[in-house]
Amino acid sequence: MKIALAGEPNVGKSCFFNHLTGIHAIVSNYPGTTVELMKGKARFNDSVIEIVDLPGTYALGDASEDERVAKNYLIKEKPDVVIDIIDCTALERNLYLTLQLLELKIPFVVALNFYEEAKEKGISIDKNKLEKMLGVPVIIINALSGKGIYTSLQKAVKLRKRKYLEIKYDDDVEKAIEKIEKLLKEVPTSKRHATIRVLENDSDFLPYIKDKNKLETIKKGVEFHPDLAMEVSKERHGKASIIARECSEIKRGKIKLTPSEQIDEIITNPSYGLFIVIFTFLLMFGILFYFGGFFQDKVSDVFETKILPYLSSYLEPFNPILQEVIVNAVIGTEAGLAVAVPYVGLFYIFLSVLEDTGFLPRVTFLIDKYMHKIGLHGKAIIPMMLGIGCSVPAITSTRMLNTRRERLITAILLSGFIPCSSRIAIIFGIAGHYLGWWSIFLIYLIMLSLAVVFGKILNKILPGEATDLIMELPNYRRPLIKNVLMKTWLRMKDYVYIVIPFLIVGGAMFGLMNALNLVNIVVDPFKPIISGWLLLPKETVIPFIYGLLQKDLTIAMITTLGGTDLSLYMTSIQIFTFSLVAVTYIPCMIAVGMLIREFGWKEAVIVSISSIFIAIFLGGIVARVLMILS
Amino acid sequence: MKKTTEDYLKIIQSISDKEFVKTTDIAKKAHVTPGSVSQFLKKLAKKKLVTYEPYKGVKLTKYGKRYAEKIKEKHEVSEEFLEKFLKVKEAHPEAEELEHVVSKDVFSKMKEFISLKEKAVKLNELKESESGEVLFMQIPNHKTLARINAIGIVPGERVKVIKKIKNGPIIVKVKNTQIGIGKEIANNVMVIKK
Repeated sequence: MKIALAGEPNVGKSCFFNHLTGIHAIVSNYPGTTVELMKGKARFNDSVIEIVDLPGTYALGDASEDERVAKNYLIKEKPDVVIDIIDCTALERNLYLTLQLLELKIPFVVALNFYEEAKEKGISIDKNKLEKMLGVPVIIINALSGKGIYTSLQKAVKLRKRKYLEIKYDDDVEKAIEKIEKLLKEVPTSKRHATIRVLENDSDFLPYIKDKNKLETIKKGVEFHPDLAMEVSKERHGKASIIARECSEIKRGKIKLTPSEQIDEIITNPSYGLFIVIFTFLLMFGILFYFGGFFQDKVSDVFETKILPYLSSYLEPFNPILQEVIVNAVIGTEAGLAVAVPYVGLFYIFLSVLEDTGFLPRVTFLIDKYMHKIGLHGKAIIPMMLGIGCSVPAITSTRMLNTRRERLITAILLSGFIPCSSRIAIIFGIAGHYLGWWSIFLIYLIMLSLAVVFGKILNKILPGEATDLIMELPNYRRPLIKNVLMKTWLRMKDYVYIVIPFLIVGGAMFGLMNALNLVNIVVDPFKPIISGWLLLPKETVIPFIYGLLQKDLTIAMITTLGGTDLSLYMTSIQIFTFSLVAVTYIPCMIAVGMLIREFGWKEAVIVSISSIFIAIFLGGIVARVLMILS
Repeated sequence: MKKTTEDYLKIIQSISDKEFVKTTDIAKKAHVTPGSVSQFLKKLAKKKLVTYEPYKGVKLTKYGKRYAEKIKEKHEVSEEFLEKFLKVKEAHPEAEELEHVVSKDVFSKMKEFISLKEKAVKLNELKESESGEVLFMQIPNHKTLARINAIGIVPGERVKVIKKIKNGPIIVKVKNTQIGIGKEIANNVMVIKK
């Protein structure tokens, strides 16, 4: 048996899912899309039920990839039952999706979540009346505590077809529906549903129409309704509004703001809200560096004092090349673990908490105005924040944006100008360590300016129009640990499965190249660029080349080259130029791989090569400017 | 008959709505002979729309004046409605016909529609904590339109502006949900201030 969970965003759907399935969920892409579907299994009365968590959407049309996946899954995979989760504090809005589910004529159960919270707000919902009006079973649940979840499962399993509510449109619209139904080819859903989708200009359904001209004539012939798509949507909202009014009682008279609104008064304040956001993030980074450093030391300690010396001495009698390869593979593992758990993991936990409390959506609102200057809107801040952890999952997360254009701009900025934790290590560990705070500040300033400049250029040259922010700001809620961990894991997944193995392979390759002295042959050919243009010691091409594999190797290599005190090896200006160049070209091969996966070869190659050119060009200019200034 | 009556009233009014108007002047404007004019004027006098005095011509009565004004208004409203909202290019001759046949009900609805549209402001123009009722939207991208429709912003819906960033997005409350909306979209949602 297969049960699908449907609902709008922020209704507690994933909570419900986690309660039913535990944490053993499988995430897979819906075929042909970038949308991820969560699948899990629930044990019920000695049988195993497959549970699918559909993406949270406000409608089942074609406005976003998420909507299309939810819709097509319901039509094509035909789950046995759908559980529609509704947020009682916004019953009317939620019923819009419910009414669209009704159009599909698949068996479903309505689960009312946040029932208590709504009651506190003075909204009481008459469950029985709602059941009667919709013609489907309605169950009160509490996704946080798990109350009612099994009852809804029980109802869902036992569900037999009932007489569903059907929206009757205006007579003229109904006549048009009747006529259009005759123009349909074989459809995978009911004819009426397909026709309504056609009326709403759903691009997934227009191909089912035999004669497009006839369709246009019918649509034009409908009197008094110049915009049928709007008419259908309006009618559905109207019905939702009637049902909501009939089934709920709202006690008014309370002008007092809810706690959530009180918090919002402060955070979304146009004049100082952004400062609160900046302060929160600074505090977060402070905590991150403090605890992250602590964990990192522990991990390094284990590797440096326990594993590596033993391994080295154990392998010594064998082949020296083999020793070099294996030892470096282990060092790669160390780099992965030392960064993964403390920095990336902890950071992503923080971000998930901020997202689940409702803080992050407010950030998208506050930052929106500034993001428009680079052709993006507020939502793009979320992948960018993830990029401060690791560029790889960040590039994947650009999928949350609506158009390919937005995704590409964000991904390019992520690759070039938003330093991930490995690049932050270079900024702090090399520039900051040898030159002081001013250099950290200056590098960040240069990267930020570049991001703005390139954002503006990309905005101009990339085809397509900029889209705008539409983002629900859910009530502030206490985050659920299970959900936070689940979300963190989803984001860490790319890091663990792709980045860490690559770090091990990268380490091994590094060992091999080192043992065979392979890299040294490139030192002289690159001399004109490195020494002539960037004014650096010619051997520094080696850490740069390793940096193409992964940025952690850059630090390791420059230390091998220049010794433990780099100030004896390079001048201050050289150290600065080196750090700046090292952080501005492509983050690592894995990020390039991600660009290929998400955008294709052509884009990935163009982005990678231009980012190398930009880094070199910039390095030479900055070196000369600093030279003149000192 | 009704049309002719109304056309005569218009002609008389256009020459003078206070003084007596000569039959010959009316005949010139109506492109008919003075004889048939005076024939018809007598009928108008019977209906108490004009006062008719031989050799002086006719003068609109109070009732006749009101009638003529109503016709004029019907013409203006019809023409404006056709031109502005139905984008009819040759609206004047159409209005010339409509003024005689448009029903009281349709006429008052057209008037209401025009005044509503004139009162409409951009959602962006509302101040914080002001509310409005959505009238219509001018969003060409059907996906964007579908998204804001689905989230609850449809004609007839009441929205309240909660927060507003200068030259930036706004937060609105609609159907008990807070939504952040970018400047561009908010600029294209027209509302009636409540």
